[in-house]
Amino acid sequence: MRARTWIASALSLLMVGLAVPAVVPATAATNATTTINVFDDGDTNIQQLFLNLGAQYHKLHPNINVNVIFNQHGLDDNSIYSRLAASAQAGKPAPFDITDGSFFSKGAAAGLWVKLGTKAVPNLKLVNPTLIRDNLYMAAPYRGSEVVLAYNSATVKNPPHTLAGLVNWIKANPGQFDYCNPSDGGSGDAFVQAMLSMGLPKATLTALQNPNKYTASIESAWTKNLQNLAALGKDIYRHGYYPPGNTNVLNLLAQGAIQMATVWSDQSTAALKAGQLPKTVKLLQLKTPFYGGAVPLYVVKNSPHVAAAEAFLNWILAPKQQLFIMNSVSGFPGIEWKYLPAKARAQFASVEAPYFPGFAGQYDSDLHTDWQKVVAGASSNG
Amino acid sequence: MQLRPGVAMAMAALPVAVIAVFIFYPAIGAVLYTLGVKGAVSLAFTAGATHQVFAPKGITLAVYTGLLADPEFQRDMLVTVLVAALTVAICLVIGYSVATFARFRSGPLARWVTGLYLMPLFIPIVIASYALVAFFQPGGWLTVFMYHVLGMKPPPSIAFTTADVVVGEVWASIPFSVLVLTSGMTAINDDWLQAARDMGAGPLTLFTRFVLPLTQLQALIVGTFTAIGVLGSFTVPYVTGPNAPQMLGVAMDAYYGAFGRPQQAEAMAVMLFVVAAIVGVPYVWAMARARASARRS
Amino acid sequence: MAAVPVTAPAVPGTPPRRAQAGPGAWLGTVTIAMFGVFLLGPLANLAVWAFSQTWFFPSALPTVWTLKWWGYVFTQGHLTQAIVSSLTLAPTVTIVSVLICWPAAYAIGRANFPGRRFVTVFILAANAFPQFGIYISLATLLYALNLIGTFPGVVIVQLLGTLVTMTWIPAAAFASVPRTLEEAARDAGAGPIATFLRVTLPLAAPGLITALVLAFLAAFDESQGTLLVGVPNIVTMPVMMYSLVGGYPEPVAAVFSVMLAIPSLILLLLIRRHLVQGAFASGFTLI
Repeated sequence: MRARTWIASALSLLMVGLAVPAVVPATAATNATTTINVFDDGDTNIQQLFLNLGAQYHKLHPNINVNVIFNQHGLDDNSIYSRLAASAQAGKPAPFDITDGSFFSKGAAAGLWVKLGTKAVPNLKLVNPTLIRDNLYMAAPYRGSEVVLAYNSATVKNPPHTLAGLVNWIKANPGQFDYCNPSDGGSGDAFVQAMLSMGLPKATLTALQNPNKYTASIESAWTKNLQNLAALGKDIYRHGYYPPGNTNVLNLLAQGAIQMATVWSDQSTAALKAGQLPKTVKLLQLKTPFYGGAVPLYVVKNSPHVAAAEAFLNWILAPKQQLFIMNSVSGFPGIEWKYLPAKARAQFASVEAPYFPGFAGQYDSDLHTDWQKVVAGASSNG
Repeated sequence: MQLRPGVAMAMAALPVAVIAVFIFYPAIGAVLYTLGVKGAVSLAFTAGATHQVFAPKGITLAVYTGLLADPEFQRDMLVTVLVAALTVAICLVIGYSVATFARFRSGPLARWVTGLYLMPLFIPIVIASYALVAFFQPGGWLTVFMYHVLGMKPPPSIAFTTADVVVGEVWASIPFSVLVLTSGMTAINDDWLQAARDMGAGPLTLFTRFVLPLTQLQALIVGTFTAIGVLGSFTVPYVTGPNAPQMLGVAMDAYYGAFGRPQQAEAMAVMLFVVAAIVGVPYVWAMARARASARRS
Repeated sequence: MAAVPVTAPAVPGTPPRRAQAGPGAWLGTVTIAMFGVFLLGPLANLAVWAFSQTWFFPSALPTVWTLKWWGYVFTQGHLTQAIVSSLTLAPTVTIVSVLICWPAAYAIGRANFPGRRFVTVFILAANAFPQFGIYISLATLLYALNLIGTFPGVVIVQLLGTLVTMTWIPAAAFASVPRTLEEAARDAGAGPIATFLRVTLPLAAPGLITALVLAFLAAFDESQGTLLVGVPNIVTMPVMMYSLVGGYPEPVAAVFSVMLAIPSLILLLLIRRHLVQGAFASGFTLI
């Protein structure tokens, strides 16, 4: 007993010894270096992307450090967003400068992001102006991907090419298809939006996709389709289990638990390359494509380094970096295809496609809430 | 050394002060927000939220009545309480089994077993949840076992059901149960048990007429603290549970983030706290009673 | 102070009489063993993932093994920094917790003063309020106090999770020290400080050490509050790693999990004996 007490005491003293230098406040870093903090809440492949981009940028600008704060799936987005909102309220510097986080709409409504202009970010000219407008002029898409249908070609000989065909396939093969919880992953969200859009008049669809005019009342247009989606639940994997994230669905596909799923093209291509998905898994896009995610990158208004962040954003939009991004994550560019080097463009010719827009961000909250109530609520798992 | 009441109060005030400043005070802000008081929390925070209710003057209970009338919330609340109750029941059964085993068998096996049951205490809950999913999901060792050894094709899996959540919560709560019940057992005098056995009492009688009554306080401790822990849990149900019904911890997180309704999320937090407080009442009352009787005897 | 009205508690350390062996005992052993599998199985399953290259159902084990994930994990630049942060924060929080809670624990365990029960319950109640619910208000407060992004700020947030354990368990530990021994020491001429250090403290040590370790673990594993306050300057192991558990590929998350579990398991081995001796549980029979 005594020996243990001594060991414990010695350990404690050692820890104190370690702790003392940490308590002594670290004085401010030399004024010459600036640190740009990037916050990302995507999947691990995006974290790696930012780490690489940051390292490259630092090589070009040795006095600038790029620090990546990563929070997968936004599991702790509540903490982060609370912190950000509190900082804005208190008039203090924000905890990060630039982000592609999933709380863009929320923050836009609260006025937390910088309005981007071509003076500070010249490469904005390379981006499709519709996409900039759709982001309320506060963000630029820096990469893209689209949601596609992944299927196991060993077991699925005739995959469907239309949404109606997909629904029939699901009903004919119960338990073999799954999509993730739309609140947690875009691959599931895209499927849900596609299902909700089925048969809607063009005017309604356009209204739902318009971020400049939010009309809550048009949400009633999707009620019937939502019920259909709920009814489809019994033919979904495990009678209606929707995993919490894009990755989990890929894992199910890899395990052979399901034969078909909606997935992100960039994530699944990377997984195929890394051998994490069986080689028999193939990707296809439906006739009416699932929406494409042009992921917005935006700058925080109360960031202490707005100019530096904007410069970093600008650099990311340059064709050279865009190509690097495309190759890193097997994704699409944020800038228009025509600005890419000709050779690269030829290489990607088979997948070049315009983005198919989803609903405007303001409708997300209610879409997720309604899905949870109606579709998740119908599942017979309990 | 004997402490004067004044000094004792000053010493006791330290943690109280920390809590008052860093938990109690922020909690008041949160509660006021749920009662519709504008400005109770940062405006930048509420600006992006939807479905908020603010009272023009004073407070409003609209947020609470709205939630309580929502059938989905009612179901989630019911499931949360049920999972907590089930977890407590199972933990008590397992806890008593291990504690009895350790009490009546000396030797290295008993110590080893008790040590084993402490292990979950030292595994961070996120890792534990992930490990549990890996184990119970299709492709995990349990289904592999069922496939190869039991010949089930395809093997069933309890993953992503409320049953899996209960399993996860039990896994995490066992150490506490074993610890407390083991400690309670040490207070049972061997002589009484021997005397009872000499008079012909079988093991079941010994358990129900001696062990249970003498450890009822410990059982109450296990029940209270396990229940309070499970009521507010997030990680286990998020990783292992179904999409609906959800435990309230998961629902709160969704309302806060994906659903953009932080006011409702905060109201859920307050209601969870109330339920936890109610669960804690029997414990506080029993403790006070026991202390009073100990002082008298 | 035992709240159970027994006349003479069994002296700790006395081996209990052996129960009769028989089929009942056998069944007990088997049941216990099965539960052991249930406890260990998931962790073992996870640990194997950390070394797996290719593993698809229905193989019981990976078809291709590898160590490459471990190398991959260590190339993640910020990992070492996170480890250092965690290992400086957790001990600091533990020490601060001692300074704030142990005097209160001593008072609660030894003295009778007005509001004693209120204090005990108040501390417990504070932990029952979902921490998630106070983030926004807490962040606002910490901004007002200029504690955001600072080491002391993170210490405070991690401290909150240790208050119950560091008050209740030491209180019981102090209370269980027999006054007679202390009086004997005083009679022999020792001053109050010497009595405390040479008699009270060693006798209360099992409970105190248990509380220390549990507080350390609570601080070490804390992630949400640390993220709220510390980012971007202060990143701890859980903050970094929790976001990767459940990520892709599965083996990387498994490696992180194993690494996060190691300090905890080491501590488990250190204090296993104290925990089993009931020091922990006695804390809850306090009021």
